[in-house]
Amino acid sequence: MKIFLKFFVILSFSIAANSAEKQFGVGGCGLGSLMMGKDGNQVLAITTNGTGTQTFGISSGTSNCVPDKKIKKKGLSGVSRSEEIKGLVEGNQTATLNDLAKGSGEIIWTISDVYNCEDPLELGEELQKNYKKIVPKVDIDATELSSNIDKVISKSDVLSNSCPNL
Amino acid sequence: MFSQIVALIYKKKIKSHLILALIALIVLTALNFSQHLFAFDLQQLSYSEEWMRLLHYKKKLFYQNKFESEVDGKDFFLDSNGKFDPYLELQANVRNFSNSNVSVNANLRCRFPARYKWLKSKGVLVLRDHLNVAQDLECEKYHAFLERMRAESVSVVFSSYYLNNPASAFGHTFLRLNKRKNRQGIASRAEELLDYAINFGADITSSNPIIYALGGLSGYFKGTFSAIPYYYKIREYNDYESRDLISYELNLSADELERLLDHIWEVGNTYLDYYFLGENCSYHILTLLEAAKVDLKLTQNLPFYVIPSDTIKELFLNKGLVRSVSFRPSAYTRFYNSVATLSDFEKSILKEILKSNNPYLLDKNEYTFLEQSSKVKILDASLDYFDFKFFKKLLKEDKEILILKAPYLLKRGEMAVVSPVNKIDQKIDESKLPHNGHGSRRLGLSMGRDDKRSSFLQFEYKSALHDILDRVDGYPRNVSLKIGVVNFRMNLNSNNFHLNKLQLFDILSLAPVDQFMIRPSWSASLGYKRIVDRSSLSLSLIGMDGGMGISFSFFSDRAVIYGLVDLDFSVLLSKQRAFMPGIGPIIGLKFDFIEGRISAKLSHQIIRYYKNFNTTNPLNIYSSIFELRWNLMDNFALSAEINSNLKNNEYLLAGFYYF
Repeated sequence: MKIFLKFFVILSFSIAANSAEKQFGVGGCGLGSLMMGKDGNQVLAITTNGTGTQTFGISSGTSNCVPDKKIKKKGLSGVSRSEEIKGLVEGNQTATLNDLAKGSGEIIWTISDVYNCEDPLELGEELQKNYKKIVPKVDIDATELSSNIDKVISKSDVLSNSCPNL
Repeated sequence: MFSQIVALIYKKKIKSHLILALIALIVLTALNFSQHLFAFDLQQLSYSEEWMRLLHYKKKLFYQNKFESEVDGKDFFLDSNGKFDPYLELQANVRNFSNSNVSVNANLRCRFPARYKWLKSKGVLVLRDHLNVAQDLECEKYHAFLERMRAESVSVVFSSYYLNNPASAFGHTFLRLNKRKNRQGIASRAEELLDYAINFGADITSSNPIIYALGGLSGYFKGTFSAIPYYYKIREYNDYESRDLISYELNLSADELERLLDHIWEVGNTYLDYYFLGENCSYHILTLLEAAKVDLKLTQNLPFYVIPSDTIKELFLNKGLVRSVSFRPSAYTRFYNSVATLSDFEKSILKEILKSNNPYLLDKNEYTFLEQSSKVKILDASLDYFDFKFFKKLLKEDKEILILKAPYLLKRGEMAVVSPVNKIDQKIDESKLPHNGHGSRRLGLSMGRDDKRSSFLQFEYKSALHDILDRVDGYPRNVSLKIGVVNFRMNLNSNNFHLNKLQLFDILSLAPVDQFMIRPSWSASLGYKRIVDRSSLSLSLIGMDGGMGISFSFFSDRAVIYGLVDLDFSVLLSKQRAFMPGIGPIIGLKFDFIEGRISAKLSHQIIRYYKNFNTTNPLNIYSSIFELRWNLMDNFALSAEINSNLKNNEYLLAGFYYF
């Protein structure tokens, strides 16, 4: 029996050591912050959103980046369209950059839906044309990225007609 | 009696206050009678299917008439014993919902909208009009939640098997509330990003894997529901873990959908103890649906452990429940879908670009004849490659990778051509849908005989999930994931009955390398096994072994050849117990025909055991296994097996039943 015990202890320590190695801090906002905690506990990954302290409705905000105060003050439905886009871009930064470069893809269809644009293809062409303007540097952050997208859309003559929710 | 009174009044023989007293008596009697009726109604109501499901009551095992709710948050019940007593709880609800204090009552209605609406529809609440107005005023948070969800329909989403994480090896399910869209989309599943996912998960409070495992089995962790944008789930599963997502949209009426949302709100604000095996993520997705639609039967037939893919099959057992199926490819699948649109020549350019890390190679003179659309396809595939290969680094905004990827994006932007939607991404691959898979449990009966002319019967039970030779539809290719295997043998000559194999898990994951990806193949198992040494002596071992190696595929994935180095940490179960560390190679070949209906595997293993770390006199064990499988029906298969250990051969014929 002793031999089993030893075996078990050695085994469990080796697993424990392995999982302890992968600790990351939780912080910041956007997808990264939700995932880091998860990555820290690969073995423990079940949920990404176990905050527990907030009420159900509040924890269902766009992302960690929309401050609770704002949600509490304006109500969840009070999140504006550009804030919705910001949440989308934060949570999908890699896909956003791809779609801007390709001029098409889900992120663009979604932005098109939020602004109620008539023609998503037109929106895609316009964003692709302005890729360098929207992504002026490699390590652009989500806030800047989404505000640049907003700027391009609102300054475009073509889009201001075809996207009524702008 | 009434006529007598009338007669008395008529005759004016009694005084007026006496008449009043008599009327009061009659009214009181009637009231008392109706109260009895009321109580009787309530008791019956408290054992109705609707109430049982809204409060998550389940009949207690071994008791005739005892119940317990699976919800563990005390705030979910209005009676202090409500968790165990449906009748008391119903009484408390009726009492509290009929409370004339406006703010108390309104708060309660906002907290439990589904209960309130149901009790109201049953006519058991004493309601005052001004309270209805108050409810609409006070439920700000709840209405904000509804507005955020803006749900038009609901889907159950299955996230496919992920072997690199024990918690997700069996897949995962969650609900998706499909948002009303402004306009019709471009592609069939475009704009689903803004949908919301309702997920049930454990709040893991410990990073110690032993506490994690034991706590998970015993319900130590709290399970809570969360509502987060669907795109987080997409990034988590589709990209981060590269798992396909399959959505089953359900046929719910508007009333049922409303009830579902009401009920999600009720349980979203409390907690349920999380049990990995039974009351897990997938199980409570079903109990939500059962509460919303009372004629559904989803959890009744499940065994004590709930496997996500089984819960999907339960959906299909309720006729007409599943309205449509949609498929969202993982980053891995997307990359290979992009590659599939390329010609061999285009593939070679893609490889060249990735190797030299220079997308501007496309501008070279020798490629000027290439059509613009062809260059677009190549660059799009290269972006998919980055997303699959480096997703974790991209997510952490690792500057090195961002710099590496930037020129690809820039080059692609400069081309000023909008990418078409990849049609393969939109296609639903029936063979990948989990509900098309064989039953997750398997019962096997074999007849066997060996060179020494002894015959035996073998019984095997596999609790889950898939063997590499089983029918592959709905399961990952080239993977064995066997959990809870018990194997007994009965020798027909000696009538000796013994345990042959007992495995907690036994995994073989073959990931063939190709021109774009080099990934390891591996194996792991934990349990009890018997090995036969050169002198035909049978040894019993208990322990764990794991292997790591590489595999290659041929004939468009029909054949896979693999080689692993296996390490065994076992203990010899004999009179003198001993450590039996072992090491040695495994080579194998697996092939299949007719979409996996017929499959076969040949493997050969040599392992050298060093008893108690003694290197002077190692014990060499040889074993070869050939298995041929005919997956005759969806849930029935025949198998022929030859086991050899140099000294003796065994020949087995088996029938397997999946359920």
